[in-house]
Amino acid sequence: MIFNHRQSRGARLWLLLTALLLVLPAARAHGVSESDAGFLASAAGVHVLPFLYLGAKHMVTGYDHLLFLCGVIFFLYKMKDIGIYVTLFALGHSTTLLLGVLNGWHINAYIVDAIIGLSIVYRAFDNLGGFRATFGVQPNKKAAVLIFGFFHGLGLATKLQDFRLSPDGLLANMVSFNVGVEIGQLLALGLILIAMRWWRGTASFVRHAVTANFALMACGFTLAGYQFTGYLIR
Amino acid sequence: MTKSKTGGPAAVPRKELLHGSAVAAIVATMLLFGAVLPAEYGIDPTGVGKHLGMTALYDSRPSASTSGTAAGLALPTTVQPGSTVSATGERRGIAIASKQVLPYRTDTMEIVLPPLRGVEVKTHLAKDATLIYSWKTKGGEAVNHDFHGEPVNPGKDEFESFILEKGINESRGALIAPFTGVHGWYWKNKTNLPVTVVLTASGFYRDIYKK
Repeated sequence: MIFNHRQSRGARLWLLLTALLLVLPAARAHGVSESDAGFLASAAGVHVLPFLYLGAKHMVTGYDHLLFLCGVIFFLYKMKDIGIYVTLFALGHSTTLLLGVLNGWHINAYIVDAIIGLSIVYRAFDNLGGFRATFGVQPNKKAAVLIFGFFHGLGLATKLQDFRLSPDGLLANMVSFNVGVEIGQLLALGLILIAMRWWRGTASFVRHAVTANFALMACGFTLAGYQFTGYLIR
Repeated sequence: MTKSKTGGPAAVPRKELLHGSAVAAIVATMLLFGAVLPAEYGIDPTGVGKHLGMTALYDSRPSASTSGTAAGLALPTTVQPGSTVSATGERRGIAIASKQVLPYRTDTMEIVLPPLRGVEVKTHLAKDATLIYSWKTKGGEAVNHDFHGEPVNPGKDEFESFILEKGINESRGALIAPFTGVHGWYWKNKTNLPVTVVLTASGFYRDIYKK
């Protein structure tokens, strides 16, 4: 029985890692694809719907944001809690996205993405009660989500500015992009919640939950290493 | 093992926590060196990436070359890939923009060409650095002109003429150096009297001198 249990645990871990392997080379570091880049560079004036769409697309296809969201809601059962944390995250990344683009902040995208990778590690470690177990303290979880939200927003802002955006209609376009990001986040969140609900209903969730958070940590470390290497060599 | 309360995070024992975190870090390192770094950057210190065919992903990438950063003095900036900005009725050209290390300078020289003789004025110019010039003969005499360049230690007949003109008394032009080397002008006086050429050059060259 115990043997069986271990086996399925290992199998799940491998499934997760294989999925990660498949996703990493395919997703283009959640940059904006080239044809979208052409649009962004040539779009002068207000274009609400296209920017809305690009924002949503960016969020739904941005695996680092999604992994972080997974970590955040992993042990959140009440809709009220989910609402609070997701709002904090949205508040964080919207602030730095808008400020960053409007003030022309240019922060190294590799560094920001490495920190985003570490934010996944942090949250997974926190989910396992790691800070209390190893350091005897519990850092404020809400503050952590807000602060990491700032970094996720910096990533969005830096990537958007890689394309020379027309100053004509910039604010309206940025707000549209941001609203699109929130729509995309809600869509992704819906899917994650459906999967989580189903998973929590299974008998072995508690045991797998621990493994899954270690797998999240591995994903976060991988992303951080990937981006930090990029910083070193580019 | 079911001590985790519903609605709260898992409280994992310290030992298991450290063990699991270490495994996560090791797995991440293996993924990085076995797949991600070889496939994304072509970095493969262990050789595993090549064995698994991961480096092929990097090699087959069309924009994989990082040849942009020349070892020379000019540092090309990353021109926006996929840009479609163009003027109406025109085909978009290649954007060449580069930051320069050397200071911008302008020089004006008067060069005397002896009767029936040729004279060269050269600059040391790095790859991707710009040289702009304008010259004319003082008395309006016609000369032959060859604006050209060669590497610092050229092989036999190793030079390139960028602009060749015959029987003219003035000319102007610009060059973005295709290679690091000695770039400049050659004038040939075809008359029996000395001819003075007045040259104004500007750009990011290291020096300018008569040869």
